[in-house]
Order: sequence, then C-alpha cells, then structure tokens
Amino acid sequence: MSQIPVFFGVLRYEFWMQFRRRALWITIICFILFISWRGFGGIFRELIGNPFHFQLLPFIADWTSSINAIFPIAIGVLLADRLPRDRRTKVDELFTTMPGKLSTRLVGKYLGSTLATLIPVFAIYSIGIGCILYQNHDLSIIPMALATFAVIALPGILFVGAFSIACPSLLWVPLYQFLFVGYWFWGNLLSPRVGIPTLSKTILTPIGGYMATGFFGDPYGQPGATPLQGVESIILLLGITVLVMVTLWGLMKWQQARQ
Amino acid sequence: MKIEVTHLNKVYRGGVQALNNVDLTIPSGMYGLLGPNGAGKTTLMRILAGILRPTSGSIDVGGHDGNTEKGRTAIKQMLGYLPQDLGVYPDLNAREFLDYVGILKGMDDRKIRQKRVAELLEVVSLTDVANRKLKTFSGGMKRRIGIAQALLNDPQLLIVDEPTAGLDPEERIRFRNLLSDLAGDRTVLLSTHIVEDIAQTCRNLAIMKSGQVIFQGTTVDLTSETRGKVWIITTDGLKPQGNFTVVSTLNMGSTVQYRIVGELSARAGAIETAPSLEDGYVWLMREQRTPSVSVL
Repeated sequence: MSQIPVFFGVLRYEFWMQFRRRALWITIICFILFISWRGFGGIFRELIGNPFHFQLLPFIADWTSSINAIFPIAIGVLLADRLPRDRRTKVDELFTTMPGKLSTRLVGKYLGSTLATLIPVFAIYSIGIGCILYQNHDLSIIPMALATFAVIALPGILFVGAFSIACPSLLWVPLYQFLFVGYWFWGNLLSPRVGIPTLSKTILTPIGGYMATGFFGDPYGQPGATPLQGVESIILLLGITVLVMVTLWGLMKWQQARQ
Repeated sequence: MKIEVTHLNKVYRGGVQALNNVDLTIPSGMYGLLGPNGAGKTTLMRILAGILRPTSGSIDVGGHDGNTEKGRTAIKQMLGYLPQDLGVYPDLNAREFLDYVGILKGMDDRKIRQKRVAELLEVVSLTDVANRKLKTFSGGMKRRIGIAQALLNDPQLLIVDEPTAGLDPEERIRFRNLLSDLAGDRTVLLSTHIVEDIAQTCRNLAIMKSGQVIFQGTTVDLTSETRGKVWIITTDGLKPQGNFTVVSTLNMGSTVQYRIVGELSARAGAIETAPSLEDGYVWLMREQRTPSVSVL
C-alpha cells in the first residue's frame, strides 16, 4: 500500500482541523494586540511610516526577523496539543489498527498543523509586505519577501513545530507550553550581555538572525554574520528538526511495542 | 477466514495477567466472545487488532503471523475494528471523519472513497446528519459512525467490541441484524457480556473468564449442557432457597415465577423447562465458581 496518498490525506485533514480552530485565531489576535500595544521593535511604526529611506532587502529581512522574533511563540503553543489530542480523543488506538503507517501519520500531522498555524502569521507578514509594496511600487518586493520568509523564518518555525509536536508526548501540555515560552525568551531574546548563559545569538537560535544578516544584510539580525554561518544555522535547525521527528517516531513505536 | 490463537498470554506492567494460555480457533461467520467484565475479551480483541502485543503465544489470521510487523500490516489491510470506546475528532463532521478513516485504510481513489462513505452513511442511517460535527452526536449515533468506519474497506475480518453497549433496544436490534447481514463469508468477532446479542447472531462462541477460555463450541452445545437443569418455580412471592441460581423473576400478579438453573431432584412446584443460551452461560459460570454440584 502506497503511503503517499495517506501522507497527503493526513496533511490535508490536520491542516483543516488546525486552521478551523478558534483558538488559533484568538491567540494570533491577542499577539497582534500585544505587539501593537508594546510597539515591538519600532519596525511596525516604520512600516506605516516612510520606508523609502531604507535599503529595501535589509528592510524586508528586518520585517521578517521581527515577525520571527515573536510569532513562533504562538506557533509553538498552538501546536503543543496536536499529538496528545489523539490520545485524549482515543483516535490513536483506532488509527493503530489501520494500514496507514505511524511515520506517515506523524509527518502529515506535523506538516499539516504547522502549515495551518503559519497561515495567520504569514497573513500578518503579508500585510507588512503590502505596506512596503504600496509605498515603493516595486513588484520585486514580492519575491524578496518570499525568499526572506523561506530563509529566515521557515527553518526556525519548522524547528519549533517539531519540538512542539514531539515534546508533549512526554510532557503535560500546559507544562510544555510554559517551558516553551520561557525557552523562547531565554534562548532567543535574552541578550548574552546580561550575563546569564543563553543560546541567544548562537547559530542554534531559531530566530534567524544569522540568515537575516548573512544573506540579506539586515543590520539588526546578527551583526557580522556571514552567509556561511547562515547556511550552517539552516542546516543545524533542519537537522535537529529531522532528528526530533525521528526520535518521536522511535519513541512512539517503542511505546506501542511495550503496550 | 480462520483465526488461530495458540498459548496466548498477556501480562500487563504491574504483573496483571489479562490472558492466560488462551487457545482459540475462530472459523468464518459470526463468532461470539462472551464473558463477564474483566474476563480478558477486550485484551484479546486489542491483540488481534494489533493495538497490543502479546507477552507470548502465537496468532494466525488467515495465514498471516500476528507476531511479525509484516503479518500485522497484512492483517490491518483486511481488518475492520470497532473499539468499545470509539475515538473520533469532535470537530470533524461525519462525512469528513469517514473520509479521513478511508484515507488511512488505503482507499486512494477519492471518488470511490466518497461513494463508499455515502453508501455507509446510508447503511447506518446517518445521511441526514452527515455534515454535522461529531461532537454533537449522541452515543448511539457515534456507535453507528463506528460501525461505518469499520466497514469502509469492506474488511474480511471485523472485530467489534461491545457494540451494543449504550444503545436503546431498537438500535440494538438494528445493529444485531446489521452484523448478521455482514457476516456472510467474512469473519465477524463479536465481543460482549450481553448473552442475548450472541444468542441472536452467532452459531459459534467462546466464553472467557479470568483470562482463560472456559468454553468453546456452538451455541447449541452450550445450551444442551443445561438440559434438565433449568426449572420454573412459582411461589406466592417468597424467593426459593437452595443451591441454584435464579436467572430471572417474573411477577405474575398474585404469584411470582422464578426461572432457576441448578441440579434439582424432584421438588414440588418445580417444572423443568427448555434451556436458553443465557441458562447455559449461567450454568457454566456457576460451575466455574462451584465445580462440585450439590443436590437440593
């Protein structure tokens, strides 16, 4: 039996189930309100101000980095219940009796629900890009925006998504969500100059600073980063993502065998 | 398709032995698995469905070894399973859920799958509510969705665990008839603690108690074992005392009729009657508790 149709079927349904979830939209709206209130990074004011005096590509990269600095928190929190939900609703037992493989179901679930969670984030990102486009009248902004999003934001989001799907198979969902938010501020937003050991500003951080500066010259990303460091960061983030998913699959197979 | 289970044991973590050296041969057609709660029926079902791994013993389903990954995959392709407590995604509607299950069962062709979903929604009389979210469904409607999902791939082996639990009498009859119709040339393994469900649908059955198979044969065999041991006693209300089990009580107005199972010698007012499957089951359970039979 081919697993490809199973993969696309699971992806489609996981996407719709997450996309139609009210909590997804409420959470994202709360984030927008929070960011509007805090005026996060000043870039939002610049977007609706006059971005003519900025260099276009670094400015778009900075906008992507700003989105990627805060919205992965929402993505991580919203993905955390996807796997435990199967156990809670007891569909995992039913699906175990079917020929669709666990690995296929896991990858379909991971990609489908991550993509769905990404949609509102991408919509907000697109509004910003729309503002830049409106003021610059330059259609080359669109491919630039897609490239910066794919290179700066996507590896980190896939990384966050994999952990948020996998970790709650061992941790209580609210505990994971609490720890994840703590990790995000500690490992991504905390300056190393504070003196507390942190992953922030290393190539392990999913915030994408090395890619933003290394590839697109964003002065606020990771000053001094080279394109090679950007590539290293992408490979590392995606490599860990694959490793996490393979470990999750192994863990679930082991749990099944022990039942 | 024949199922053969040999020396099957299942010990859960913590040392609870759910199955104890179970040997079972299940032929084609409807096959009943009867026993009290905690007898090990669900454990056996879950092992056959590939959810649980046995501690030891062998399983052969239509020539496929249930102890190997390859065998389990082959069994899953011809299996329909209705668990005791069906899991659904509450935010999907009935049609979407069945479509999703169809995908997981390897029904690749979208048109064929959708046609099959529509057919089964009709069979279980849920066409009218096909677009309603499953969280709004009653217990009986969920059961019907459960049977529909089990039948999607037209399985050669259908395992149904306590399918009539929680159904109203009319739904229960409908469900039993549906299962009987489905049996045909496939194997339907029906687990229940409701004797009537087996009596109405199965020719062959096994009875389990404390993780062991204590009877294997036809419903007629089980009933025959009780011949000469089922009596009707009518009193003016006073419950008869003795070494027997009261199976049922019928209030007749001024008198009360007791149906009892036990070895009675001649006793005034006791009329021997034809045994039913329930009497056979009660007798067997009684024998298990007190193997030595005493005479009143």
